[in-house]
Amino acid sequence: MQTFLASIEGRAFSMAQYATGNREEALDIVQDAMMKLVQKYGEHPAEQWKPLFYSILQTRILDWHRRQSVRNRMRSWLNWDEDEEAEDMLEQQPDTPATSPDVKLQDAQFMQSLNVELSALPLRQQQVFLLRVWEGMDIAETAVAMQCSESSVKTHYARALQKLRQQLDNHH
Amino acid sequence: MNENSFNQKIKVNLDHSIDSLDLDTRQQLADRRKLALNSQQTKSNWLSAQYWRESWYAYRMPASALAFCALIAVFVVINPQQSDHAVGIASNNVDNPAAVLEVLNNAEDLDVISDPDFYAWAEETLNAEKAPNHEDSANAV
Repeated sequence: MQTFLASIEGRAFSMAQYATGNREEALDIVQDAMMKLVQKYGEHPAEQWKPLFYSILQTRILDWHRRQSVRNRMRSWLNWDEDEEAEDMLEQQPDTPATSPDVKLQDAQFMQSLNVELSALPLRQQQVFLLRVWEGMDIAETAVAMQCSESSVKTHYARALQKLRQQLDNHH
Repeated sequence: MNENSFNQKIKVNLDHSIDSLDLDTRQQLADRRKLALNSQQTKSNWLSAQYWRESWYAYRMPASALAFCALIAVFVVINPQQSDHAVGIASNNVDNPAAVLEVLNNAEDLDVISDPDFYAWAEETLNAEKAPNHEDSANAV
């Protein structure tokens, strides 16, 4: 379990950060997902951990978005200033390789655009795309993790891919 | 660039972004992983027989004894009430609301109550029961 969590935590954190745009929230979501996996499914066979973990993670992210939408509605009723929040969200976006010496050789501009475009994708498309492309899960596994049908996975993936290709085409 | 190459490029870039995570984030993730793994240990300890054996002698046995005593006390307090209730019904005390409720709740008994023959029979029975008592009291006087 220790090895599995260590191997997956970085990607899980990035997915949560893309989805929430907030580092601390992403860390909390990953911790919740790890705890639930360990406590509820620790005794399950190791090959089941990955889909189970991502299923928990995606549920936690969705829960976070639901809470946020309620919070935002409350804010709009109370006329709270949202400009500061928007600035904070931008600051919380994942660092681009351009700021990291380790990845100077990479296409920094591509990575920067990728961060922006991934964050801009609708949540379900973003989740499906990252699970399929980054985590290498097939359609069936992704459907289990996302708790939706395989056809939904295909649709979300196709739309996400189309948008990303449109936006990132000039970086090819 | 075809779909596979495009996806591969994205994957490589995302992998690099993980490699370049700052030290503080890495440390936070490691701490939270340890926390999650420790929560499993706490849970498995809680489920183990040894945990229960040890904690039983420490504080669960006195607590159980206390609970048992409380249960006995409740029985002692409740039992006299139950006997009174039983006596009330047995002595045909129609003023006892519990007895009335019991009769009203029983559909069969209600049929009997609405039958005039029942009252005739009840009066005869009561008079027959009272008659020896009167004789006894007359003898006593």
